[in-house]
Amino acid sequence: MIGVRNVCKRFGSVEVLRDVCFEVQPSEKVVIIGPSGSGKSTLLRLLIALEEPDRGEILIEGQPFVCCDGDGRPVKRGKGFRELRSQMGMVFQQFSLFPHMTVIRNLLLAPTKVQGVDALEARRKALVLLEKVGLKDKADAHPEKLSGGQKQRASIARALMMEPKIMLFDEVTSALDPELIHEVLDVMQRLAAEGMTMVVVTHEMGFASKVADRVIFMDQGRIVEEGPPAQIFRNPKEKRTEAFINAVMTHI
Amino acid sequence: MSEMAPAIAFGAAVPYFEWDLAFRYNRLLLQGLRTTLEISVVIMALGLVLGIFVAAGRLSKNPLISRSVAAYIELFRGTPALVQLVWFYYCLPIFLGVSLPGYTAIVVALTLNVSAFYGEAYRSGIQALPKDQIDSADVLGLSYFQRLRYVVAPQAFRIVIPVLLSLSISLFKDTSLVSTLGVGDLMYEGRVVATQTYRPIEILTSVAAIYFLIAFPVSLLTRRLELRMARAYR
Ligand SMILES: Nc1ncnc2c1ncn2[C@@H]1O[C@H](COP(=O)(O)OP(=O)(O)OP(=O)(O)O)[C@@H](O)[C@H]1O
Ligand SMILES: [Mg+2]
Repeated sequence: MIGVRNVCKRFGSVEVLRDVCFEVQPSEKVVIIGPSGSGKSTLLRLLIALEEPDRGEILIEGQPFVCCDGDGRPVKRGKGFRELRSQMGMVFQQFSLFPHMTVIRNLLLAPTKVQGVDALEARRKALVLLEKVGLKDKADAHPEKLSGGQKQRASIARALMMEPKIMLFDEVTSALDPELIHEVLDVMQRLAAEGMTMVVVTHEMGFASKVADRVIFMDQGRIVEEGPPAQIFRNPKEKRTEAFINAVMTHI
Repeated sequence: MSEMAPAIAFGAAVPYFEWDLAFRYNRLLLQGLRTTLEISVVIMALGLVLGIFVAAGRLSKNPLISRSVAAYIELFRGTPALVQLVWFYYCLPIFLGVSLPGYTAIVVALTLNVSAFYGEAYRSGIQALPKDQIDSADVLGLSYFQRLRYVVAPQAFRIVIPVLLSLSISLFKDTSLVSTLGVGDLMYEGRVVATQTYRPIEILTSVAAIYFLIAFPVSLLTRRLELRMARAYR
């Protein structure tokens, strides 16, 4: 579903990703963990073409998405770039809803303006999705009236409006009050159960061990170790993974 | 005592104020006011639109574009508007061989001037938006112009309305500079009346009062909007 081959990325003189390779199978749930600044967000942003690689190749559904030969040569986009990109959705840490629009208008904007979906039909779909994330009664509210958890659930619903096959989540619960975290994770868990392909950056180790098929541990721009959650959390092979897991677990 | 003489002479020349002078010459002054308002509105409208492109250019990822636009902004912000006017009015025809009609030269000069300020205001509004919001719109598939139209512009515009209004007040007053180029605006007609009547104090004060009567309500509105916004973004 997703193929990442030898991807390198630098910001100025900082090497943020160094020769990253991994695959995601259809319906697979991959959780990425790692210390701050290890390049997790940058990796997700590369997957959805918010950033471009300095070198390496990214494949979506087996088709070339973006690739770069390195040495400062320009990035090449695959033939189906737009189409492939539209099959991915992403939810960010916070501030992603458009505050000048009601919740339902947030959901309707892209389908009606980008896909040209009929307004009535889009509205029906939006209400179904809002119901699914438990926000049907907030359809006409402005985002400022919503709690952090409600905002994140609305953001997820908005991404689902485009019927993505792959969903990317970048620390979507990190800015939330602790008591609001579970309502967002619940929605994500249900999405996982429905078979969505998901790549999730999170510090919620409980969620990771429950939902992930595979956990990837990153440090300093490299994938240090990957494997099923049980292995990464209980039997890490690498010293750095162990140190990180111990540090995170004792904090919880 | 001889040093006092001129002052006394001046005092003798103005034994009382003739405040009704402005009313007696109201036709001329109103005609000037109409020109002033016309120039202001035209320049404001053009500037508000051009300012969007200035902001877009300034924020462009292409360094050639963003640096040229930055140079333009600094040039127009850092030099007196009067000199800019004179340049477009007298010098451009000489150096470039293009001769703009006087009115056009003035509108072009002041539009370019105010667009630099409007553009910087828009830019601050755009940069006040959280990056995740722009990225969300991008990821949802909205094109650059759709993002600008549906996400960035409505919010940025709302944030910068008070700044735009206060810049527009300055512009409104700055249009009085065109009187030096012989355009019959409020200031120009005021000076004509002042010379005719030998009553510069009364006339200029009256002219100032007219500018004030228009600028002050806008200024009040600006403050109201600022307060409301401070409350909304608390
Ligand atoms: N646009 C950018 N310009 C310059 N440097 C950047 C940019 N984005 C990220 N970086 C740098 O790249 C490195 C990796 O950042 P990234 O956000 O990918 O890390 P992360 O693993 O997501 O960290 P966190 O857990 O704090 O979110 C950091 O050192 C960061 O400062
Ligand atoms: Mg991050």
